[in-house]
Amino acid sequence: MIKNESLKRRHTALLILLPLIVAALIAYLIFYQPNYYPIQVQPAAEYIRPKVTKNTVRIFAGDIYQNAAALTQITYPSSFEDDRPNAVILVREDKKEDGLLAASVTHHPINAPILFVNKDSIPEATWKEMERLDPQGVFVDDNVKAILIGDIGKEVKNKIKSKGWRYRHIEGNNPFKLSKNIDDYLASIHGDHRDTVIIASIDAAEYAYPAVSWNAHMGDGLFFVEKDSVPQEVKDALNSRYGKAYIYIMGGQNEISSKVVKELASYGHIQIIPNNGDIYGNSAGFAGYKDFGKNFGWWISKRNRDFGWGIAEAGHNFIFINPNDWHLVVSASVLSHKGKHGPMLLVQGDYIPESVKNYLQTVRPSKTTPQEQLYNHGWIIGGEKLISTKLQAEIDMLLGYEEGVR
Amino acid sequence: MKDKNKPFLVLYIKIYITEQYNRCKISKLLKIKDDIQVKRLTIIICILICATLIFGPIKVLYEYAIPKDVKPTQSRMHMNTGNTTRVEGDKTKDIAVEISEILYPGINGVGAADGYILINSDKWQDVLSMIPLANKYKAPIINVNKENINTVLEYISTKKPKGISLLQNAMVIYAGNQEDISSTIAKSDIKSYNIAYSDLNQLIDKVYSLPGFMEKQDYGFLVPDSNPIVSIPVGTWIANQGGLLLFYNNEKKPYESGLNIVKDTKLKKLYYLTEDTNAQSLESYFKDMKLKLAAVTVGKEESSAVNFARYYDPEEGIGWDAGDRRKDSSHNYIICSKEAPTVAALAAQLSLAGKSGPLLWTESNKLSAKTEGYLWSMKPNYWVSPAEGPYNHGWIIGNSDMIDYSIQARIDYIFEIVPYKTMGEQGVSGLDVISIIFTTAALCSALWIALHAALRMRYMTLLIKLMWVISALVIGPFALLIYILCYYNVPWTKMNGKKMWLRPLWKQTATATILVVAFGVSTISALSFWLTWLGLPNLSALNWSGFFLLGNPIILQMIIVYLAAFIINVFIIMPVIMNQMSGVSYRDGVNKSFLSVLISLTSFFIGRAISNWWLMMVYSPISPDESQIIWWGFMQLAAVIGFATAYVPVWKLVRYGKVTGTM
Repeated sequence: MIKNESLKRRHTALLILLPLIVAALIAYLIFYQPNYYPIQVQPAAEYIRPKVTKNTVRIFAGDIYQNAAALTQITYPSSFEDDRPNAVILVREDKKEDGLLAASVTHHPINAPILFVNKDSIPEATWKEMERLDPQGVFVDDNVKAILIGDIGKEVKNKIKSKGWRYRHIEGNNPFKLSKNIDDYLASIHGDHRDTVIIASIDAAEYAYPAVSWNAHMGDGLFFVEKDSVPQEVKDALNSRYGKAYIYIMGGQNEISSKVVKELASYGHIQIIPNNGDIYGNSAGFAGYKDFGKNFGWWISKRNRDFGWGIAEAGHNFIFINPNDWHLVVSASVLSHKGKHGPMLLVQGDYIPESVKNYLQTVRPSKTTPQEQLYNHGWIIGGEKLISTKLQAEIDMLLGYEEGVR
Repeated sequence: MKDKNKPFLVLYIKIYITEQYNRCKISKLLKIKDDIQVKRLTIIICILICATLIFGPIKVLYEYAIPKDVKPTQSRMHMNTGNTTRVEGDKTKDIAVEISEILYPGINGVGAADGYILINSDKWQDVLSMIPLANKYKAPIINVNKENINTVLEYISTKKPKGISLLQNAMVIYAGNQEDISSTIAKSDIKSYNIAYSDLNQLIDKVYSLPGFMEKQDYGFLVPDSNPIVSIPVGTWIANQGGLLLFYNNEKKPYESGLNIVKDTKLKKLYYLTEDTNAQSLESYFKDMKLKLAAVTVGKEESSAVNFARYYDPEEGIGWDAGDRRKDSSHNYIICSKEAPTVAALAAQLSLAGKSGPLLWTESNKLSAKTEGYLWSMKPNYWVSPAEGPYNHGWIIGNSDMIDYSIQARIDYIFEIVPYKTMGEQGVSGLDVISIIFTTAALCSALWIALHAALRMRYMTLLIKLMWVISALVIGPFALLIYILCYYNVPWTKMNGKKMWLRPLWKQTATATILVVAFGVSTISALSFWLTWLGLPNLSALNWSGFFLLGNPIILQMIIVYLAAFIINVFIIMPVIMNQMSGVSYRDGVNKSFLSVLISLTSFFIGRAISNWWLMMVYSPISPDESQIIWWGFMQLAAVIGFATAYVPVWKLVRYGKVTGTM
């Protein structure tokens, strides 16, 4: 028979033992080191030792597919579950605008890099990288592991299915429709259409290059317009915003006419990103651009808008890229999504345009103390034909602090 | 008559659902023939809920202890990652050239070094003793021997060094005894300066008597000549900021050369590094000199490098001070294998320029625990956007044979910038700590209630026992508190053979609200877990109709879990409880529980959903999932808030006899 006294003893013992067990467990967990080691690296056939300087690292490989894979290997070491992406974004290698639009999907919670495919096949380098990445699945979308962008054929879908992966296909046989569909897909995930959108001309898509890295970083929308007209899909997308949109235009009057700018103004607030007359100035202008203010909300909960890198001081990362290769622009956008997030700056093969140079002088670190020194970092994207080694050395100098200069 | 007082909409919904129920005969669908089968089903559901709420947090713990998907092999095109750069090389000499290339690329004269220091030695002490020289003359160190001297000279000639002005524009300083190497250098077009030495003592003596070397030397470091783990990290500071490097031997006696240098110069301060505090004998050698001595006790093995990284002398401003005080600053680290001290001594010169910082040790195939713990403590975080920085960076020295790729990947992950409030998936923020404590308390509370109910509450039905256990898993210690308040020293009576506790109205309300927690909210929590784990549905196709919010996975999840919880409660659990309490039939139980479940569950759900959304929006910029403890913490905290919002309507229901709180 159970007596009160024995029960009390049991309870007292339990009350003492339980916290002790819990404390011991917590202490064990604090000192416990999970085993993530070791991993044997098998150098790929196209293994490279990229040029590294004290403030820059070059990334390149053989072709567009391998370049994209080399870039995802920077961002996703994929040695254990938490450093893998949730999905991969597959874009056709012959669809420039699709690639530029796809960067918005990279952002959290999707967390996916962009790889290139053909309309009806997945090239070997892309397939190998997909296997290495082994995505976790997007938990806010049925654990899909691949997101197909644009007009992609059945064979690609079948190959993905054969691996047992679920996929999401965001269709759109022209860039305007695709941009609307991507926007709607992201809105369904976030429960809201982002009020901040970037507009560029489809005839001068190079102006949208810096937006690609921003979108991978922040997930804002990108829409293309024609020089003299706003396509219906873009109008519909802008109308989807709750209240007015905040529209940021990339390109000058030669790229987007005043008529279009006026028309866009009817959908919300517009601003032109400073561009200094060319795409290089546009990239530098956007890196330093910031628009901060109120957005929308009700009287107890107002949300702010926070658009643009606004980098005007040292301690940041920059992606240096030659605009001649749009594939690299698209795949390098993932570098702004993880690691050292930072803007894309456009340079020529052997020359830093003056506007970019001036910007780099602005953000160049001053020598302070070793404990508080700020450092810049630069990714040099592509081989020496796109950005020469000499230019890399010059960029290295511009990113570092100057001895004896304060 | 009673129905006439009900709002029209409620009445309509009730009639509609009852009609639908009669039409589809849910009991037949579920193959339920009698009350016993419903009761069995109820117990099974409760056990499944209970198991899910225990399994979920334990899964988090398990996945922490045994990481998922660590793949033994990986094919890569290069060895760099977002937050780390690999300094590749098979041999010491390859790595030396690679480091000099990083520091001084010297392409068409851009970024060229003043000169190069060539040393014919593989001893870490010799290499380390050249670091002050590298700092003074802005010249990287390269090891040479007979085999590689020609290649190195060719390399240097392509780099076009500027020439070291203090040494009559010499482009190379050669330290070593092999005359054939010095003659090879002499035969080349490269202007050189030779230092011949027989031992470390002589090398230091000669190095420190080079022209202009002792100018502006205010302080020095005295390090052991037999302990590379303690001595080499000092090299990073000297490479970056200058200072003398002196050695002492196993008997804790400084080298003669060092003593002479200290005597002849006006050093302000000498820092001596030791593993332990038992090094006072060193001080005796300097007691007659006008010199401040500072002991830097760094500890053993990997801790020594960590402690030197943290060290700071505020009086002189010496030391990296890379600790808690400067956690919000940018930090770079040079990660070296303990098994390759000479390589580490060469790597210390990475702090000559660019991303400078302290050196840390690791094992070759596993990141040393002390180093990993320290790196986690320095994890960068941001306030508004990850673009704001600061960023940490790691130089990983040597090939993957020297430092395994998994170590680099782990360091890259630790260095990833994360939100300040949550510290990322594996980081432990204040919110994580609260979640861990709350979840642990919930499990303990559930265990305590289970034991108490099993041992002491023999008149309590199994379902009510499960109710209390599940509620503890959902709202943790709050359920335990209510359990104690509702049974401790509370009088009871028997009605129709059932034991009833005679409680005041507020306690009855608390018990009735626990009923909602245990069977309604727990279903919501358990289903949320499974849906999140298996992948939430997303209906982006709804966008064309403008109802994109209904396609949102979180909103869809809320709708699904609410409806499932409502159906399970109205059609399965509540009729069984009512049957046990007052002997009503299954069908009457459904009718009677409909309104009370609708009101109590909805009011609970509103409080829970809003607070959960608020917690996610305010504290977690990146949506957490079920594999993170913070997801459980938020859910439990939201359930506590839901309890508070449901309490008032439930009080009304108890007061008017729609639900009972005497079980």
